[in-house]
Amino acid sequence: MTQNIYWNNQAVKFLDGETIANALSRLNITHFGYSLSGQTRTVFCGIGQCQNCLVWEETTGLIEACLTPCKDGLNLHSSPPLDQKGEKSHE
Amino acid sequence: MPKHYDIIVAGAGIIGASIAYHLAKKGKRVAILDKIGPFAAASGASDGAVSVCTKRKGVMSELSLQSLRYYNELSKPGQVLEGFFKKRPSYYFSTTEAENSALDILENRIRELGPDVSVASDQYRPCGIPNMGENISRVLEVSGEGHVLAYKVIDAFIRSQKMDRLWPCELVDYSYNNDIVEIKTSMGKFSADHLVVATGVDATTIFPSLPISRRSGQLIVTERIFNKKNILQGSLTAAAYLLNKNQKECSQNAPPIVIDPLTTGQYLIGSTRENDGDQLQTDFATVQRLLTHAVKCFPPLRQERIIRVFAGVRASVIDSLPILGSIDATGKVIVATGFEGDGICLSPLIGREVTNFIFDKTFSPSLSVLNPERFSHKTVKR
Amino acid sequence: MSEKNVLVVGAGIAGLSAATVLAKNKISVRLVDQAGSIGGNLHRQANPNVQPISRSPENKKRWKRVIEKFNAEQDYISVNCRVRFSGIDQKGVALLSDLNGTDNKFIKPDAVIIATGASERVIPRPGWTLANVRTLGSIQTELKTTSQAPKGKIIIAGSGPFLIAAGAELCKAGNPPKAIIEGGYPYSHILKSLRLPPSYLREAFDYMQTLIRARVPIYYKSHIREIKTTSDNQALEVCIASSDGKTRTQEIDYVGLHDGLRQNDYGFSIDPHLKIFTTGDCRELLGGRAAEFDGKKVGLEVASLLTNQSIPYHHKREYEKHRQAQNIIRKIYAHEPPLDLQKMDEQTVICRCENKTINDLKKLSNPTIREMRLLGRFSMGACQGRFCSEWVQRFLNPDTSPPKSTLGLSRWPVLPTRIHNIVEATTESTSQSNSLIQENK
Repeated sequence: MTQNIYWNNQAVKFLDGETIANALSRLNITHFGYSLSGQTRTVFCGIGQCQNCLVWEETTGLIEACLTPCKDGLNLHSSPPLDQKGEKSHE
Repeated sequence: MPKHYDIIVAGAGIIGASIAYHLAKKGKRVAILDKIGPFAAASGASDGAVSVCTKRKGVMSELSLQSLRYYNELSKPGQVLEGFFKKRPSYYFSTTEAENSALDILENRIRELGPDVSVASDQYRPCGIPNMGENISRVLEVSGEGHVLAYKVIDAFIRSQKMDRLWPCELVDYSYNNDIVEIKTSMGKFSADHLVVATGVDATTIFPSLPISRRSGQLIVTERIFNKKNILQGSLTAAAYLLNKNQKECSQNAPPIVIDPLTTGQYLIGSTRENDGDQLQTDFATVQRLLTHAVKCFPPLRQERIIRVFAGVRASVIDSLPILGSIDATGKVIVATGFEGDGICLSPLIGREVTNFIFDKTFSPSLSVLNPERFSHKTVKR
Repeated sequence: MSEKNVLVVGAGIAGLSAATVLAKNKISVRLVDQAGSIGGNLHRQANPNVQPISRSPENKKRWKRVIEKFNAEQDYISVNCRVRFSGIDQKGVALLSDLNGTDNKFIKPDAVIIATGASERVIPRPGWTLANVRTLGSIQTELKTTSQAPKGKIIIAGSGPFLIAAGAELCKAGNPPKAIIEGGYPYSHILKSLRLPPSYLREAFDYMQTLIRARVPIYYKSHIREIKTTSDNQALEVCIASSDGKTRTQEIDYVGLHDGLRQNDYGFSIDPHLKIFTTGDCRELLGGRAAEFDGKKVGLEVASLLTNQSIPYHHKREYEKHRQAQNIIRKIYAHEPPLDLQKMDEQTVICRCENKTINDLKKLSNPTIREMRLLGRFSMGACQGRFCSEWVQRFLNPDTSPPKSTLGLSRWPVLPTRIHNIVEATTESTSQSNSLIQENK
């Protein structure tokens, strides 16, 4: 059965044991938005040290894409988060 | 011949920086020295509240009010602190009956203090601020208070006027040679007409008999708040903090929480007075206790991440009043310490008053209770 | 049976070895790792149902040896993967959180052994913060866990044997790098390299064969000077400079940078009073072979301490042999640092988290460390200086050698920790810890 996470409302399939970064990488999604300081959000160190690859989950908060395992239905957004109309809600 | 200054200020925290600035502005040749560097101790490990409400009734309240007014002047366009002092609402909240009474007292006091601070709103549940926790029964919104980043203020004070900046340079000792103060430091000898000792807790290395102790508080820093919905417009202070400070009561059920939104976008969460006494270090248990209560009061905090925890060590005086004044009859050596967390608020005023003393040879009468002479009898009781 | 328990953070070679030795001495061990399975960097396991890319015979042999010994001691070891260690406070209490955020514990082990492996060094240069510019290690991590290389043209650059190892792995995964850009020239030290143990040379030869067969060009005495996006924003363009001053540009999709390794001692000081120890690459760059012995050595030290006995350690000579080998490797690859921060474009970012540039650093006049952090905001972001402190310190004081790895002292949390995790954490008592470990929870 296909498992999906959601990236900016787009379904992204993942395999067992994959991290968020793994699943997104399969679709060539490597740019996760920007931080408040203007830093590009992307995988850099791959082991949770650089804090560059943060993605946004509504209830949990900012999470590391390179470490966090995928879960079916995980609903993620790039930073800054887009509201339902696709506009940037945080400026 | 050691280099001679009009005044040497030992300590580049916010008190020393303010004093050095005010003196240099009036044309004095000033050197400011520090064992490590600017804001290396308490001033660099603090929140930035410029608050009158949190001060005890009496001289501290009165001085804070004067200092708040002065902050307003100094941050006008073209002045040294332009852009650094941010006026914003202060939210004092209660979760218990005792805290509620503290808010009543505060409300009355605000009326007495006059127009500089005022009550903008007084809300009982449901409260006007979004996201406040269910345990909060009342929020008093006060306007007129503000916030600074102490390190920016210090940097502005010491860079805007001509002065010699010496660090790392530790004050070791001083002595009198006729009308001159000879100062021995780790960088060699200097001389000056006056020496100001504003070295915080380290004042006891020069004046061992001053009853100053180290009182620490753990502070927690989050990363920048990302979710716009979680942003606070002003600091949230538990009324327990007012109880803690003003009446020396320790309320175990409601720890004195302060959630301070820094202008960097991070939150500083603290319990700024630790009745646990001699903790100079940080520990998970205390942090958990603090954060548990903070999350009850402001639930959006739950999803934020903390990036640092540190202990700020403040100079605390046995009778809870700062020490400001000439250490002996000569008037040549002045001590300015023991501000225990009120240094940021009082610093502009202290700088101005010490400068006045240097020129007029006398402190204003309202400051007489802070004079170090009060310890010469060693009969001080709490 | 000792009632003591030890927390080992990091299930790589050093951590596994330490855990094995402790368990052999009947000390309960809780072994945690943030990855999905044990193995660390060198022996990172593939995700479930994924065919792993082939490993070298040397690698396979070592893993078999270490894991057999480890598996034999399971009575006293419990393994928790996908668990992050937030640090240990001054009272010896550690916080462990699983990556789902649902299981958070305060524990008070009798000792902690940090075995988190090395960190990669990446010298800042214009464009290093663009998307698809990453550490070579992150590419290797992705490769080993998913058996997939990033899709597109990859160039790897920096210095050290890791470049050819990772390059060979990319070949095996079906996406050979378009070029390997090496800053040194190891062939000028042929005699030195012959002093390396035969297994090292065999491994290097193995990688080189793979690269040659895949026709991967290797450029020596060269470095990537600058990275830009292409005009249509669809790819990257790297500017490669060689030591003779020539430059050329190449269009590429991914850049894997690796300018060496450093100890991963962020936030820790070895504190005998609190019984915190470090082992393996996080403490000293020893390489995988020596990490096995170092793990054993530190495990025995801790076991001796906790059982009040003196347990002898027999492998000292092996340990020294591999440490010497690492020294030789360093010498073989040594070269003048090709990138000079003082001469670099001032808009180059140094502090990634706070987006602070060389220009921001220049604006501070003779700053103290406090001023650099508070006024300059360097090292004040989420990574707390892990990736910028070395460069900030070197910039202000080029003679700092070696610079301290962080701008401050040990601290916790060692990584950003969610308030939810702290608030929800339950405290596990020592006896609870011991019984959980022995029930293998």
